[in-house]
Amino acid sequence: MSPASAPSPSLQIDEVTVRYGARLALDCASLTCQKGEIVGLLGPNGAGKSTLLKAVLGLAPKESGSITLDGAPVDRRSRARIAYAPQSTEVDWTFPITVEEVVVLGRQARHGLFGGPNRADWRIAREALDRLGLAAMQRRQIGELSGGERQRAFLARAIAQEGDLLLLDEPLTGVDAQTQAVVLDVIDELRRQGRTILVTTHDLVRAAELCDCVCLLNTRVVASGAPGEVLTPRMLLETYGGGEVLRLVDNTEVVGLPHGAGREPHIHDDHGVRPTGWS
Amino acid sequence: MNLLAFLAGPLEFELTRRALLEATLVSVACGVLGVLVVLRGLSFVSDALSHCVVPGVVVAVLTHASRELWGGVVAVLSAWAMALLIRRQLATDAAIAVVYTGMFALGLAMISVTRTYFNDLTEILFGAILAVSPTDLVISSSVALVVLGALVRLYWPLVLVSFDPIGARAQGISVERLDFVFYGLLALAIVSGMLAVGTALVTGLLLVPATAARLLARRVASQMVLSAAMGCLASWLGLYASYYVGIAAGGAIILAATLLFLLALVAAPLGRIVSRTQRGPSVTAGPAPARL
Repeated sequence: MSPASAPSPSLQIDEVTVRYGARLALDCASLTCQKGEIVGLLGPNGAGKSTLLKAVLGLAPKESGSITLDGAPVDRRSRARIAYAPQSTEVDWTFPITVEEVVVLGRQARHGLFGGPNRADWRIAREALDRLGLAAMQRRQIGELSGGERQRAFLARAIAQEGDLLLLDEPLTGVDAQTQAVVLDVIDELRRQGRTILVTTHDLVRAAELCDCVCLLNTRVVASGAPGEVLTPRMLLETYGGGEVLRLVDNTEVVGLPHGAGREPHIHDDHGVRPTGWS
Repeated sequence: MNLLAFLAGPLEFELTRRALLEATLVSVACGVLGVLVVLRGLSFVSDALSHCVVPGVVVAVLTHASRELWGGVVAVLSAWAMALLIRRQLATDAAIAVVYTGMFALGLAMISVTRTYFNDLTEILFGAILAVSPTDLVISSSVALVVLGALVRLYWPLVLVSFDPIGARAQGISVERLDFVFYGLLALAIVSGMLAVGTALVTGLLLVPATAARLLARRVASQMVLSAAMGCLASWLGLYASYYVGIAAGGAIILAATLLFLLALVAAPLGRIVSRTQRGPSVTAGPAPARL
């Protein structure tokens, strides 16, 4: 499968609205991820980045809108083809489970409710751990790992799942430089294998380098398209608000970003409340 | 008295032989399941379930019907109701407490109309392991077999759902269906354990060996084996104490389990020190040595 072939949408998110109680987490968000593409999801804290990933997985209360994978609505069966690496804060780290068991359980959907990993599953799990430099830790209890190692273990689980679509929630946040390099390398390799990757990040520079397409999110989608077209001061100002964007522009020289594959940016009409600081 | 004669003493009687067998079966079922109850943080739920069973058992006493049948039906229904409430995030500690004290009070009110009120109540609350019938034994064996069989088949999905329910759901695994089975098994184990140590103490049989095992073992499977083993040991110690010293069997069993837990509490840090010494000073040097 080559990413150079005619683009076909892998994941299509159409006007998805998610509300947690009274709080609007996602407002009519639409996004298309082409097959074999890395799509970066950017936005301030609380912008709904993780919520969008959870909506794809059926973990967020979707009020309206539709989500399709390869043209078919995402249901329980197709969810098995979506690998998800959550932000590594949501499990009991004292749980009596080894690192390799965590990773091999990424393949549990293949066996459903009656069964467990076979020899091939264990081999694939160990390969994934090896790829992320955790081979020596595979028999450790998951809580014995450091923060960065835990994050890599969950990325290894997502890789071992061998999904067509990978949803990675902040894989670069809170990890050391060495881990970042490994993670970026792995993400790039997954793209070469033809996987589609939707990744949330705070790192504008990395996003610009890595992603084929970026999406600026602040409850609603502010803009999406090639990084060079979307990561402009105006768009960033609209996404992040005033003070923040000055810092971002200063630090990252967003203006001078290389242009992407020439996809026209899709600028979404204002139909929400403008962020504060925007005049 | 030599040791052999000491051990053989209670085995001379049919009723104590039955009691030992019953306690063993119940300890295995409760021990293995208890590990998942502890890991999932459902201790309070299991305690509540054991109290919810009381009205069912009382109906059985009043109508001279099978306690296991009535208790079992009420336990399974209560367990599924509880699972539903937990899923809807309505099962706060307070809500659970309201439901189970209500159920318990209902049972108490119902049993109070019988002439043998005090004896009946004592039996429900504290069990009558020295009066188990062959039918009880058949039922407890079946429960133990069903629980063990189900855990062998569902081991990996249950581990996944206990460790990372969100990840399991994200993979498209039916957490609801699995919970349906899990809570059903829990209800069966509780009813079976109730015969042995009573509703007031069955939670102890579920939780105390499992909590002790959690201190000592590093994998779910090994915790299950250890928990079942410690449950059996506690049951035997308790029954022997009951036979020779004359204390109530149910209380003696849970006391023995508590004693084993205290030993585990002391042994766990020692074990960690030993394993650290074996591994050497470097934390990153190779895989940890396999421990239970």
